[in-house]
Amino acid sequence: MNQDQLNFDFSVKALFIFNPLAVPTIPKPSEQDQQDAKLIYYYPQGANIEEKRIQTGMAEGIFQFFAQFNPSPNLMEQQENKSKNESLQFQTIHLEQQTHIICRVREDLFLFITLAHQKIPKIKTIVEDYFFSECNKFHYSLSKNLYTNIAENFVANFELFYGYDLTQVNHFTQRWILCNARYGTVLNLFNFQSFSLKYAQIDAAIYLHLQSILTFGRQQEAQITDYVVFYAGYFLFSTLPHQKAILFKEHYYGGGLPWTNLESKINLKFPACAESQIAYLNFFNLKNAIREGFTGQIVYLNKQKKNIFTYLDKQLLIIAIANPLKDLQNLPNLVNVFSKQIDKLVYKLEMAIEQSQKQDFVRFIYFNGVNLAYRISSQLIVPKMSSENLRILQLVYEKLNTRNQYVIRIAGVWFYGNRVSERKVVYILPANIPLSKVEEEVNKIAEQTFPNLLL
Amino acid sequence: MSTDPYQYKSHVINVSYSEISPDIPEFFTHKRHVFIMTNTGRPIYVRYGNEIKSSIFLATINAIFQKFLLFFFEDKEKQTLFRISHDKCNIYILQRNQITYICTTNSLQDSEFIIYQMLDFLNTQLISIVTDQANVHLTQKPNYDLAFSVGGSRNLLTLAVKNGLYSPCIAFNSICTLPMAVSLRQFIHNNLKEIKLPNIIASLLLTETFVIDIWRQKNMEFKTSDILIIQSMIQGQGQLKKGENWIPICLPGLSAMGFVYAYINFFEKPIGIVMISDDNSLDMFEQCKEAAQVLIQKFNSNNLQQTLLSNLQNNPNTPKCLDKYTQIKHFIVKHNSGQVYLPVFQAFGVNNKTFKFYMQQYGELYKDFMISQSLGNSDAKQNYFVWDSKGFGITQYHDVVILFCFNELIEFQQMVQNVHILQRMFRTEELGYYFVLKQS
Repeated sequence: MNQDQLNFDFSVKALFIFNPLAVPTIPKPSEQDQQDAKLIYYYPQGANIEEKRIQTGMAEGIFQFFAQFNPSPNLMEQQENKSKNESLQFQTIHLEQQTHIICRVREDLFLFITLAHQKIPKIKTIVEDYFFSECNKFHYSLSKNLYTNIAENFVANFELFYGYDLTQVNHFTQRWILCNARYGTVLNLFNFQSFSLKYAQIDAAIYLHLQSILTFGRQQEAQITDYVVFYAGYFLFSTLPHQKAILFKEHYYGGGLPWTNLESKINLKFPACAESQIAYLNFFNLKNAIREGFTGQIVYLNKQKKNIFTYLDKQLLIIAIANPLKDLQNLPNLVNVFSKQIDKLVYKLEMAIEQSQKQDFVRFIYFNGVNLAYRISSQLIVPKMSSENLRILQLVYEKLNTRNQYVIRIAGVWFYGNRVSERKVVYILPANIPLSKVEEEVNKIAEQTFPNLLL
Repeated sequence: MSTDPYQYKSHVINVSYSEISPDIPEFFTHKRHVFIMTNTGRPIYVRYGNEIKSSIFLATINAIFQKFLLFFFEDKEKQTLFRISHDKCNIYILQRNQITYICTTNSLQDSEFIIYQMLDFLNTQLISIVTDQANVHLTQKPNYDLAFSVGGSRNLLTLAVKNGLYSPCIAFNSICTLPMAVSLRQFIHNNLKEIKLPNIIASLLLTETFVIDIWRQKNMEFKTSDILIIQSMIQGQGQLKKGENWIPICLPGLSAMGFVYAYINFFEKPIGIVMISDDNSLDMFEQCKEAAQVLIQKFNSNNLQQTLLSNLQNNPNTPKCLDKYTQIKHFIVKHNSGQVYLPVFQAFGVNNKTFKFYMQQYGELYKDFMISQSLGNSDAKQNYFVWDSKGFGITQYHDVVILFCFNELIEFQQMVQNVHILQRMFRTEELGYYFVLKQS
């Protein structure tokens, strides 16, 4: 086993949604009818009907059976949790080449996802065999949070963009896979953990310029309640909580879609909905709305239905969210405001982003749960990040959830992780720096790059 | 913590739990459960409850596993199911040949690594009771009733569970060696060597918890796991510490299919000699007896019993660095030959909650270390180091791995100094005091 043999790509082998409380409506239902009534949706749709039925039954059974071992809160606590919307409960089932996630969204809504991945290796704790070659060899699963992130992301997106409208689940699932796939149907475990906003280093002048454009926009359509703005994939501004902004960003930006102005590239990922009215969440560029005409798109914020409009020009993406509009007559004015005002802003943004990309900092990765900043230095000789390094990075990131510092030397590299409240920084340094000097090196970087940030 | 370091406090096995069963709600109030069953779902051992009352429950679990594996795979290639996590509970599954071991825990602090090591040791213990013939029988007759063969040795399995959950020896596949001057250990070793007999595979001088010295036949590897089985058996069967015993024992590392014989004589409690032979004749017993007498006389004439007893009285010791440097709260040192040095606490039996907490942290640190050793290339296997702000860490240093717990509030540089203090204690030239190293 060498470090290149472990990677964290997976594909969605099956995804289904069921309601264990559903009963068939037909008189005198058979057992099959009862099973069919429970199954709401199954991906891929071409799967064998018998297998679908059995898997649904098994999923429900496994969840209930192993829930017995869980120290359950009393009924009162359960009701409280439900009302606080903390009702997502997960069960993960780990096999060598598959991991199954069962998510109890509500009492009447369960999600089941099967992820197929590379074989989880066995770790041998002693060199020699005993009487049996498998002695002291164990599978060590990755943290279950890595998997539950995926289900959580699916549910959060489904709630936001479809309000749990189960008639739309197929379209949503197709898009969700497409959005998050690295290629084909291959997704990556770590991507779901590290969803975050890439923060653009803008100054007050740029910020105020943007605010003035958005204010003009709001003057054209008074029903606009929220904005989320990105430039070239970098986060600029949001009136929504940042966790929601991340969902929007991933929904449009997708898994590494190169963010260019070439709409043909965007259309490759999100084909025009002319082919199918309900195939995808309509990615209608407001810029073209007057020409093409469109119907309103919907999102559900805090369980309230809202209209959403997206304007994309010169890599600037403005997402405007409004109370449901009875008519769209103000939208051309909105488009006008944006198209006339953004040139100067885009010019400044382009320079700011280009400059920050060129700056020569040491390699670090900075998360505060919403902001991601990373820099690569040509001066520092750190080996290319292998799969093993990425695995350790994920480990450090996870450990920092429960610790303020985590330092590890492994695979030719020091990982020095620091956390202050929600802010995490991981410094990556070559392993030949002795232990006694590591802190000194880290402090040098911190003083240069994060003065006054109390890291 | 005030313990009499001389005294090992054995685990208490509460047999009243054999009356509960899975259909009673109280069953699920226990933090942990352990089940052993055949791959067809026949119960072999359960903790808590009894096998008969749990048979339906285990059959259900087995049916779930089997159907689950069958129906989620296109190619029907059987895969290993090794873990289920449900909210605050984890279920670990270990398959060893025809037998499945399951441990459920709703204590999120429990180290995954320690649980798996416990299950593996449980397998070793079970095979030691019934021999690996059990797997052969189960292959031929899947409905073979293994629980019946376990019979009265059930308590040994329960002890294996407890030792597995709490003992660093099981967790780190190591014996706990008694620290002593190199010259003394050399003297003892020479004496053990002198009494060797042609059919003796190995001789051990030990207590229930410590190993004092080992003599092995040339080119013979006497496995750590087998020594732990022997110690476990002595802990679990009090009569072995009285008089002389000549008993059959299956040591899976030596020969999993059959039995060897052990001469056991605790001539100066708590110190005993164990001689392992593949000859079960009465004549062999007599020879062992004579050899033991020679050793005892040699010890008497050199007052060695007293020396060893007083050494045991001082162990497990509290090294100066734990007294002097209050920021160092605890550490464990594991030698890569499968030996462990454990200060302050007993390697087996009951320790306090502090040590249980330490072990949970050490377990996770060691797991990450093991993973890196397995996955990494040769560069990655050197100089491994981890430290976190909870105070726990691990450092790989030449032939040892030191797991440590420092005060949470110390500065980084102080931590570095403490690591160097520990590394100096365990420089290569000092190791002979702590461990039984190969004699030149």
